[in-house]
Amino acid sequence: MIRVDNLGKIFKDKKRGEVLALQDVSFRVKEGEIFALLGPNGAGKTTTLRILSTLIRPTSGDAYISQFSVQKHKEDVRKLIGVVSYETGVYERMTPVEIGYYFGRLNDIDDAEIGKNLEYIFHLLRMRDFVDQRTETFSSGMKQKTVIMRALVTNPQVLIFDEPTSGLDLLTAKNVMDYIRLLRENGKTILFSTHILWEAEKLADRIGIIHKGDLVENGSLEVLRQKTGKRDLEEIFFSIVGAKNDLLLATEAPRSQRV
Amino acid sequence: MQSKTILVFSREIKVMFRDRRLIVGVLLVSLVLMPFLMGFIGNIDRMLGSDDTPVDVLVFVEDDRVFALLQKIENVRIFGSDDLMHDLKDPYFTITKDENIFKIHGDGTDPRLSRVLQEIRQEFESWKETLVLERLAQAGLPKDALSPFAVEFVDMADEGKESALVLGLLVPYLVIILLVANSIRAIYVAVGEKQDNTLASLLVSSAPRRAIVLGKSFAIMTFSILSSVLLITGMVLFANLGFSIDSSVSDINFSLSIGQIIELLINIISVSLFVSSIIMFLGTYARNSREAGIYTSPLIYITIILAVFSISRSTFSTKVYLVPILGNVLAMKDSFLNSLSWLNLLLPVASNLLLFSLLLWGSVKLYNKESVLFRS
Repeated sequence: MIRVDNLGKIFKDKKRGEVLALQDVSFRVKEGEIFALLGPNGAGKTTTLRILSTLIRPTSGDAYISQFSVQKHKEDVRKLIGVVSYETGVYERMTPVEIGYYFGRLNDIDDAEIGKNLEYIFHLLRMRDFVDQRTETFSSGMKQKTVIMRALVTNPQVLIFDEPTSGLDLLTAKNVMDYIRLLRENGKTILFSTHILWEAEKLADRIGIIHKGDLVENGSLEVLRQKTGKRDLEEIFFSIVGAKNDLLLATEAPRSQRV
Repeated sequence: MQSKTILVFSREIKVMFRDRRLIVGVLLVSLVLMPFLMGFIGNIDRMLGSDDTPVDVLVFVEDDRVFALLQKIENVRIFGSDDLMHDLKDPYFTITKDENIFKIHGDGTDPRLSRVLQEIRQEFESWKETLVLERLAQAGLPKDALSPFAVEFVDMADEGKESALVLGLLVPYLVIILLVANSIRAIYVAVGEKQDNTLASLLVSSAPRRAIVLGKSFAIMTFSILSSVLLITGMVLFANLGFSIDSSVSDINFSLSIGQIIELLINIISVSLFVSSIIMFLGTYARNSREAGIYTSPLIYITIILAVFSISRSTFSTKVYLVPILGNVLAMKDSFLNSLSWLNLLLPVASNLLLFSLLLWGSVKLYNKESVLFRS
């Protein structure tokens, strides 16, 4: 469902010059699978997801949603995806129902179908009590539900979550995790990024560990265990990232810095 | 794309009308503050009641004829040198005579004295004229011996044309400044998505960038036109209720022909398109409202400088009509004076539309530029 081939991205920054954000990142996500991109802050997770969301262009390589290239067939890709980001806001002077209809219509979905989708989503995310209230007074949990609703209203096949629990309290974060699991049960393909190890461990069918713009490992938890000889994801993560750091220090060519 | 433009436009308008601070601000400024200020400034003298207060005149001339001519003037209290102990009220005149020159002493900056001074001079002039006529008659000379002819200007302008002149000079200046100022108030439409982190969701939708930019630009334009119309309506209403910008404008005839209304509409819509596209462009580039404010502030100063030409009574060459804003105020002025040629209307409209298209294209470009969309 998702194919990422040798993706590279260099940002041009006035102060820092050219910054290498991604280099030769490749992975696959099968239909109905949850794939977690795990990495520390600044590893390149958001850049990867923004490229897949057609928000930014890669410097090299390409990525495909279904058979559509994120560079050549943006319109087709956009029809297939729903995006949720930790930094996404909601329209403050609108209600969840209005936001749902607005984004549904922008994506060429007829009102009857939007209504049907919204009924299901409101039930799924337990939003019924506040669907007709303006979002300006919402708690962060209610806002996050509204953001997820907005991504789901088009009934996309692929959902991209960029650190969906960032900034949320434990209970709301757990609810969001439960919704992602529910969505997988509903046949969605899910790609999500996180720096929280337990989220990846509990949810993901496969995990990609990304560090300084490089996808250093990817596979199921079982495969990662076999490769590293470690049991726990935390140990696996630090052994992979630590080995990568050692390698970078030895070659004195730090990544994610000036090139 | 058209339906997406309408969708974006409708949402922006709906959200703008829900912004209580914005709406209350516009209503307060349009229907209360501005008309009140204009009325207050225009009527400050009348409100202070200074016109009705009598002016004292102290006469040091021993000539009954001087007293007699001064008595013809209303709202004047006359005192002779014998009345020096009298309690004179400021401001006052003193009249003396040096040889054959009557000297009127007083504060020339006082508006009440200026009005009375004019009347005193008139009385002295007509007395002088009578004396000259008497002396000519005594010498057996004809009445026109000292003044063989006179020059007189006969103003053929009717009341409507005079009103149109006042409107033509003043209204375009106000309208254009209000349009720009109100467009700037709507900059949140352009910068809000980025400021509130809702932009990414919009960009990931199937709405083309051009539809987003167009929908938002039209929303800014609609807001700016509506709020400006509201403001002018407020001023007109208050003028009709007794407040006026100036006492000379109180009898303005506000009626316009259908042709003039169409000209004004075309002009206002075209300049609104241009201004809203500037706001859209600057708002798209800015990271937040504060930064957008810095970018848009020169716009209002440039507008004030260009709009001030509408007050000028000079005629401008056709080329000048190509300069946006300046061309629009001049065309608006010509509309009020009923002297607008289609060429002078088409030139600013064409220039507005060209710049609107360029700026719109620029905004769409910015909407595709990663360094602008994800600037931190």
